[in-house]
Amino acid sequence: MLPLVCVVEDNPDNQLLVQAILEDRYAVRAYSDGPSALAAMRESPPDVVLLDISLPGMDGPDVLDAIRNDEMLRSLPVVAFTAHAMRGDAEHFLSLGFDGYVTKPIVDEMLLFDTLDRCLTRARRSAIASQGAA
Amino acid sequence: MTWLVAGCTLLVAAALAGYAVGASRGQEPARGQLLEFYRGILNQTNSLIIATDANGIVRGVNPSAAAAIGCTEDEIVGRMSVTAFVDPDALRARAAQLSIDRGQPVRSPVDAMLVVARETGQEEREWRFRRHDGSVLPVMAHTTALRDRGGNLTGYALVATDISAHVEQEVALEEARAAAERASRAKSEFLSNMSHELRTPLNSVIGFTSLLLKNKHGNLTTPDLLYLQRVSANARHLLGLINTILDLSKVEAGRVDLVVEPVDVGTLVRETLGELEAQALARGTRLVADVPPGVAMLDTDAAKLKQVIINLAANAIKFSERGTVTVRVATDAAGRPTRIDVEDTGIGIPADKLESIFEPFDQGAEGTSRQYGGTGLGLTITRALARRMGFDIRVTSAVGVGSTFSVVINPAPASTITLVAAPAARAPRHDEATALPVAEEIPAVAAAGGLPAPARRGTLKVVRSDGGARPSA
Repeated sequence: MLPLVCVVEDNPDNQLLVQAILEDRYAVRAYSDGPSALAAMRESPPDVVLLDISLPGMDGPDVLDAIRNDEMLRSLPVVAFTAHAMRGDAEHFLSLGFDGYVTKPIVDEMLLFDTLDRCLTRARRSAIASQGAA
Repeated sequence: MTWLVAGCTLLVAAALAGYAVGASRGQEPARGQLLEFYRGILNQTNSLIIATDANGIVRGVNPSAAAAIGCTEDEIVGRMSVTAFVDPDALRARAAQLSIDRGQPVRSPVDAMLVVARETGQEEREWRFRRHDGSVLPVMAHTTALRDRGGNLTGYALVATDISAHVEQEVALEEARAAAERASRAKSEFLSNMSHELRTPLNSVIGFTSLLLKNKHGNLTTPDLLYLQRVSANARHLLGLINTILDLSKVEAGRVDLVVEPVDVGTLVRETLGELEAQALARGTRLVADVPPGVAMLDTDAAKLKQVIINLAANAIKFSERGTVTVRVATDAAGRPTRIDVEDTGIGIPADKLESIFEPFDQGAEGTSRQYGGTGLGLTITRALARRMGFDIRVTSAVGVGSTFSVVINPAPASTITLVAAPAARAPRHDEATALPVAEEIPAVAAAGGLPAPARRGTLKVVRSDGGARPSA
């Protein structure tokens, strides 16, 4: 079964594009805003979240906060997806609690896959570790 | 200058004294003529000239001074203190400052004005005079304590020159500077926002084109794919343009910060050529690093200098298919780097184009862009970056023979006006650690079909370990 990626991206073109890029390797669910994505994730949690930073209303960091404060979702890996490509931005987003960072435009889709896969592997490992501990 | 003013002040004070008590005593004619002469000056000058007794009570004023406070000479002389000319707030502020500086309170306004001249002989400072209509007149006031032959204080002479034009000019200059800064910030912000707005749709164009080019369903024809490749190439070109314009605007707005550290230029050159290996191989271009032994460290920004060399060398490679590109470090007698030359065997640049190639979107000849690609902004941004570091770029060229672009480390100040605004490069300092013998000429990259890849890497590695400190790039 393909891992499930939740894409939160308000630009419909970008949403379609990311879906098309990801669909061979992942199961994809896409949402245009934070609240609807959060509602759907609480229904059935994905394996990883690809989260746009500048969303209208509730922005990326707000959505991340909501995920980290949710009993069921808090350990979900979340990757920041952003057009901010300035030096220092990566550190900034990682310090906010994102697990990874991908810039738009997607010049090299392998970078996107690598980032998502790394997050998935780490999440799986920590899940196994916590099961072992329990 | 100051002694001149002081000398004049003394003469003027003497004349004022004559003015007040003077000519009635029937002096000798020569002295009377001299006093007439001084009186002429006093009447004509725009400076406010005031003579006082030892207590600061006015004993003489010239017409400009009387006009400034709107009183007649008779109303002033013997009746007013010199402080009557000064803005009371300015007096209080000066008294407070003097109290702090001297560690003891200066209470009287007269002391605030005269104590420094009394103790040191003279004082020059800006004062705010107050006119009779309430307006403030900024002046530069020169106060001299007058003493008799026995050294007893007899009074003060004060010459105040209107500096309102100067002050206004300074204010206007400051306003102009602030306005320019605001405009520059607005421009940068606009470009930054615009580039984001432009990149978002381009992101889609490039992304979807790449997806289609994969021909996942196998239903696109060869011409279809060819057209899509043109779409993709042009979209990427446009993205490159947008990014470069943004970079250029940042450099020109002075928003590029320099990280200055001692840099081993020889190592930097070899590293840079190493990174251009693939590009050179693809064009069949031979890359040569020509670094003399014992190059002294240069204090500069390694990453920015590297970018300048990369831009120049990549350009040279582009125009020197199957030719040779040599990057040469020139030094002075002390081993300090003076120039980095990037020499190619390319198509050359006509003499009348040598300056305009640095202008945006000018590549020397019509059609160059179509044949060789590029944004037409590379040299513009390269020179802007070099100048930001206090360097300059010079070029010499012969059509059909090749071109040499030089990064001039210490350009003569007269060479370019823009350099005045650029921070001067710190003098390079000699570092013994780098004075190790290095081969006269090291081929960083052999021509295609030359050394096998591992051997080439090996060459570069040895050079690096010889080269002392590695610049962080």
